[in-house]
Amino acid sequence: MVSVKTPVVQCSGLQKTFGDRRAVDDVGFEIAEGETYGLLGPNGAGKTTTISMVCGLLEPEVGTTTVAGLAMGTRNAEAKAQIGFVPQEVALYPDLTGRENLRFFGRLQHMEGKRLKSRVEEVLDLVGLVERADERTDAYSGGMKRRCNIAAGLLHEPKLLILDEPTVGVDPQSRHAILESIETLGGAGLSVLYTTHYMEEAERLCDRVGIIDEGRIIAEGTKRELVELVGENAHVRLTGAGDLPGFADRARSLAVVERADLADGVVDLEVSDASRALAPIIETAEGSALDIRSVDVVEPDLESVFLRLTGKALRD
Amino acid sequence: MRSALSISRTELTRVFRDRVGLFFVFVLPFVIIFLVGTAFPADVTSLPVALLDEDGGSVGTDLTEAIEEDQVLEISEYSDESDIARDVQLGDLAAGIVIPSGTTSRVQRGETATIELLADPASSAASVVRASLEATVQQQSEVLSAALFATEQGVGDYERNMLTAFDVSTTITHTKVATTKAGEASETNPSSFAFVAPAQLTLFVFINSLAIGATLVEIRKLGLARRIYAGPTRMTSMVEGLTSSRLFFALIQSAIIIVVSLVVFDVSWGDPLAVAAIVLLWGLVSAGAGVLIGAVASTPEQTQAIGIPLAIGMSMLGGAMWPLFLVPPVMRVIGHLVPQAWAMDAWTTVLFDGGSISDIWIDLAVLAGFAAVLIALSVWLLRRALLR
Repeated sequence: MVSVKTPVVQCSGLQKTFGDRRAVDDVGFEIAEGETYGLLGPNGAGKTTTISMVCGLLEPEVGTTTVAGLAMGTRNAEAKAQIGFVPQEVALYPDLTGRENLRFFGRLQHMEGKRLKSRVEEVLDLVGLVERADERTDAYSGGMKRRCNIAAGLLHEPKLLILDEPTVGVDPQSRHAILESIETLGGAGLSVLYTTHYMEEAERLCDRVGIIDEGRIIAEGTKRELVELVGENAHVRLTGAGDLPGFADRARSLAVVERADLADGVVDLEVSDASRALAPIIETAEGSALDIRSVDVVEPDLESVFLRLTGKALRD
Repeated sequence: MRSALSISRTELTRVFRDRVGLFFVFVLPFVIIFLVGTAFPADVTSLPVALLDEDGGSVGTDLTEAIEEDQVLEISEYSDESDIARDVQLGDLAAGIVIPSGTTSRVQRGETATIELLADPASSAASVVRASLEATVQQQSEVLSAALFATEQGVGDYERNMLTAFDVSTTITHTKVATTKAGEASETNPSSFAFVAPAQLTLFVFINSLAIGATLVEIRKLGLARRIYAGPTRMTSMVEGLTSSRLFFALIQSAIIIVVSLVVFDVSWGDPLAVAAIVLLWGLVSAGAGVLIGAVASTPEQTQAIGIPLAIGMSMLGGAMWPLFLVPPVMRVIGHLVPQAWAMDAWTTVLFDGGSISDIWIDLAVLAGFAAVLIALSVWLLRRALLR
């Protein structure tokens, strides 16, 4: 567990068991003010159970959580009021309008009068639903429902926004809009706890990522830290006409190249630093009279980190 | 408290926004009250009944007097049993009562005497006569039993003890008439709508409460309960909000049925305090049942599929579809296993006998017991179900 400055959330040693299965085992992390923290893991890894304990829906068997300095528990209303929870499901009344839904959730956060009215309009504007606010939510598209779902979590200006896989089942355009609004919120200084099994979302949104599998956080840090942690290298993949086996042999002798393989007409070169390795590789190819057709640089990502750590893909 | 009210208000908004649901709340009960009310005989206080006293003794005479005092029956004295049978078959009589000869001597010997009722068993009017006759015979039996007991114990002779028993009985009767104002009560139930309106209130408030259990399932399935509980709303407030919305709904529907039936069908509902007590307790029973089914059902469709037949079945058993005096005694006992029977007993006492809250306290206590059990059970199950 890495310690961060002015943590909004501190949780340690969280444990929860359902029947014989330990869903969460000794999970701990901190989230700083304005930080977006991602819990990345496949389905069933323990993400939802973890955030259920963080937001006071479930009581952990062992472990503690504090939010804005307040101890979290299922009966601690003050601590719960610090959190905006956006569940995985579209948790809106289908037969109420978007605006009615937001007013209802605002009232449950003890908001009323002008403050409630103005906040409803602000969040509607933030998620781009002002023009459709008076339509019933069952008439919304999937993406609009998701955006309204997020808006309901933002009404009371929480210290921490918890989003549980908010883009599941959303079309690409809406997904982009949702990710953009989360980036905006993070940029505005809101702390965010984001769970996902989409590696690209975690890479795009999260300052730090906790990789969770089988109920345990197996690695944590920034993307660079995680890549370095597992020693994952970049790859330069080159295709061309000419003596490919000869080029692969010569490339192996370059100091910047860790490994060189030839398969299906593609030379795959593992390099520790792609930006430094590219020039000598091109020179070697030209020196081998190779007619280069394409050069691709593949940087290591969280998918490969997860694969290296667990031996399985994120979507398994 | 504020959270509970917000939840309750939102739930009510949803219920009143459902147009199909509103049909069942605001239209169907009155259609049925109108149809059933006009189908029933308009005046059940004057059923033509023949009476033949073949006994001629003191028991026969006393029974004849008691039967003639029954306001439901319009008694004509006959001298021949075959004439009675003929007129019953022709439909001129609802039934005929025959007190066989030797009834007095049998009773005085401590034997069981049988009063004959000539009637078409399929006739609902005959059932009314039978129920009325049974009540009269029961009352007379108590007097006779008291006199016989006193005679067996050596306290005076039988004739004197009968007179004493009658004196006591008459005193009690006079006292009851004086307190319940039987004369006024008879003016409060001039039409058959007086039975149909409270019966439909009992039926529809319960059915609709079970039907809107579907919205509870929806709240669970859509993750709304988890979202609400993740905020500063306590579980108790959430359960209070969801339950109270069902209670408000039941009260609103009851009030509408009472007001409309009063204005349109001229139903006089009797003592307002007693009416309010029945409505409140029936609302609690219905709300408890509605929340219970919402807590145990897996899908919204299940609440309708289970709830509506269940409510209709309970209403049949409990006398909210037809009066319980029309069914055999054993079914009357079974019927009182469901709360509908106690509600209908209370309504009958208030509307037909001009009863006040003190006359229905047992019915109210039983309804309160049903409400307490149903609400306690449903709240316990709902707390577990909401976060499933």
